[in-house]
Amino acid sequence: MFSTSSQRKFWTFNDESELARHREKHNLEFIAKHGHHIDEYQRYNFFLSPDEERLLLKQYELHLKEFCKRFAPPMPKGVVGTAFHYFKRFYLYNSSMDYHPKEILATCVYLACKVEEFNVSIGQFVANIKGDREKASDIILNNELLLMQQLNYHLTIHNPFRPVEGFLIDIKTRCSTLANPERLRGGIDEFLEKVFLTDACLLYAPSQIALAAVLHAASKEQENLDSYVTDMLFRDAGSDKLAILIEAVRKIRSMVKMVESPARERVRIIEKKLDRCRNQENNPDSEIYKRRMRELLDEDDMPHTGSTRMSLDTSDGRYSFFTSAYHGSRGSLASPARRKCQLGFRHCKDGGKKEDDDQKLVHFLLLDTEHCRKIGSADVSDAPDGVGGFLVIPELITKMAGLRRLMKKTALCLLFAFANLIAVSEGQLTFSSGWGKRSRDDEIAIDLEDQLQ
Amino acid sequence: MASNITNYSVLGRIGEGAHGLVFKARHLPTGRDVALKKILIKNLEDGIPLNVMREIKALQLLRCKYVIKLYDMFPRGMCLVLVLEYMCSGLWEMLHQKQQELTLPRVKTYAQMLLKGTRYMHAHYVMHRDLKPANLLINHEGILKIADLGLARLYWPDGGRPYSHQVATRWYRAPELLYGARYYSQNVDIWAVGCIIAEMITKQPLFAGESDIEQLAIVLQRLGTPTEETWPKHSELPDYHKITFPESSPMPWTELLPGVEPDAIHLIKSFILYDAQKRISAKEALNHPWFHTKPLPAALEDMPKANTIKTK
Repeated sequence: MFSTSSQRKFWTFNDESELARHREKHNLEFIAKHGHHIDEYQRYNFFLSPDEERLLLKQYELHLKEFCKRFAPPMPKGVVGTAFHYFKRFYLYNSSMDYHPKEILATCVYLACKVEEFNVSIGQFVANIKGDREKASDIILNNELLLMQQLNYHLTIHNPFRPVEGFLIDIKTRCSTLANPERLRGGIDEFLEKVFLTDACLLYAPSQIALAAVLHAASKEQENLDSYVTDMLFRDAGSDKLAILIEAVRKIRSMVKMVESPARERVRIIEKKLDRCRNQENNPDSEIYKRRMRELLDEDDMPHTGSTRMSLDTSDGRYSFFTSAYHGSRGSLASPARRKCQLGFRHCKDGGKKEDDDQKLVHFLLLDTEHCRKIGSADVSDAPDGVGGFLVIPELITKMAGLRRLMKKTALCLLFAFANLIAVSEGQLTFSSGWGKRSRDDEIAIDLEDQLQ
Repeated sequence: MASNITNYSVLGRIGEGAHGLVFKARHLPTGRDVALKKILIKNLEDGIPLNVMREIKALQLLRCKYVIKLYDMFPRGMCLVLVLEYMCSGLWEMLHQKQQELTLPRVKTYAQMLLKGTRYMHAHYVMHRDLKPANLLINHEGILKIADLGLARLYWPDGGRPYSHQVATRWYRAPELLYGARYYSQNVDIWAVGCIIAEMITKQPLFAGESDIEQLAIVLQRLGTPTEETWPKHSELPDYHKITFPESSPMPWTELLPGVEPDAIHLIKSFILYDAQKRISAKEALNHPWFHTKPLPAALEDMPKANTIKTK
């Protein structure tokens, strides 16, 4: 019931100025926290203002609507409404500079699917996202818990769709003056689609929004339901209650009337600004974020099953090669929830004699065990004790040209690893802006096998 | 809102669930004992599991003396921790370890508590789908509460949506589920309640099948081959034609429940019906004469109170 719900108790606000106060507070807090090294004047140029944040979020609400509209399989209205509620609630208490709206948008829709029992797997879900889907699913799954926490675990949403059905049934049974009430549906749907682009759902009860939609649709059909409201719905309620309702309906309708798309050029400038001023700790493309995620993974995510070590002597030292396997999952740099294998190279200048203290990890990368099995080295493990970044050293690749001296299997494995390193340097794993590019692992693997025949 | 692990002191491990460990802990600010259910998220394909989401939603909605309470929750690392009411014992323990304490008056009281919890859930359009002794926990005051709502979900009274039939633990699974029904109602819980009450009285599971097929065979053999009259449209169920059982006529209930008084048999018979629509509702069952005939249900003071803290 809405009247006893967390929605009414915690997420229905008095007026628009209260909403604006919350939003401004988090904008200022973010700037105070991250802008202490920037002088007052520059701050305004560098960070987003509350108005800019509003405009940006409005644009993303349009994206949210479009994303849901195009979603396959078709999404029930309730999921869309719930996702909108989540998105709005999240940014009442968070700045878009802290968490990018694109990432929160997808997470809101994903969580709404679950809560509304519209059961899609993460794979099905990200199939609706353009670009790097693995990265997208990592982002969504990494943000899911954050979102739930920010919603204070208030997951159940009361949408206006059910009250609309109630009104239509009531009108059909009690209001004989209106012929064929079903013809109102078009107008109602159109209105409700727009209402989610306003703050109405943070200010009014779902039944008030539903009634506004019904009355709007009726007036579009040149019908008047005023007497239904005053003589039937509110016959026994006091006139004060009726006045409150009339004012609410008027306000909701005027909010919907005011809906307009933000100017494209302005949004583009804001987006550019956001790329610079966003909190890098929460940016999946930033080094700091990647490092944190790796640390989380390395902490306790290494159930080892065995290890492989190989080495290759070159003129300037020794490259030892190791692999390790673990159940990869959240926050990893490659695909989520898939068994992964790490390949690494340690470079020891003195030929590897003092392996333990003088070696330095040159590279590590992540591969699916599927790929490893393909090339015959699935019996792997042993964790790297330090983790290097993705440094690509072209000379190393040249040195590895002598690989044919090794067994074919090993050679292929190493070459494959290097092929991945090349791919890394081309941005395949280094997540470019947007959702990134698609993986080329398979093509590379095939080429290599051809070469070794 | 700023809740985290530092508010709790962990006292020991009490169990292992499908998604992680359960600990007993003390909430330091209030001194209240709680159960911490730690759900590991990072290795799960689709993020937070749907049944955890359902459990949270259901528990937030249900505020009833006979349904376990969800006090709070907070993230910890890659885990989500649910803070639940601490329950020191359960009906499973009563049935297996303290049978002699399960006297008829106490059985009646537990049955009432179970029915009140079920009535409340159903009044809120929540079906539990996995009622069984192991999910009925008992607290230090002797109150029985429905727990583990991981399979609970909201249902639509008009029956317009299909649900998974892979629910409920076998012995307590309603026959429509055994036949693969996708459209069913809260009355699958009522069947389970009937099985549980019968088990409390006789100390034996009513239908103890070793496999899904044997489960169905046992139910059919005891209750007799369903007819269009006892179970309308049963032949339309998805798995009905996959297997046939020998024709059998219903066994008399006095044979199924030997030595059980007629009032109790009458009540159990009203739960254990093929036709889900004809099963008695929890609300009606609470008015059954069995609860008003001697021996009367035990008072709360007379209910067993397990004070022993079991930690593994």
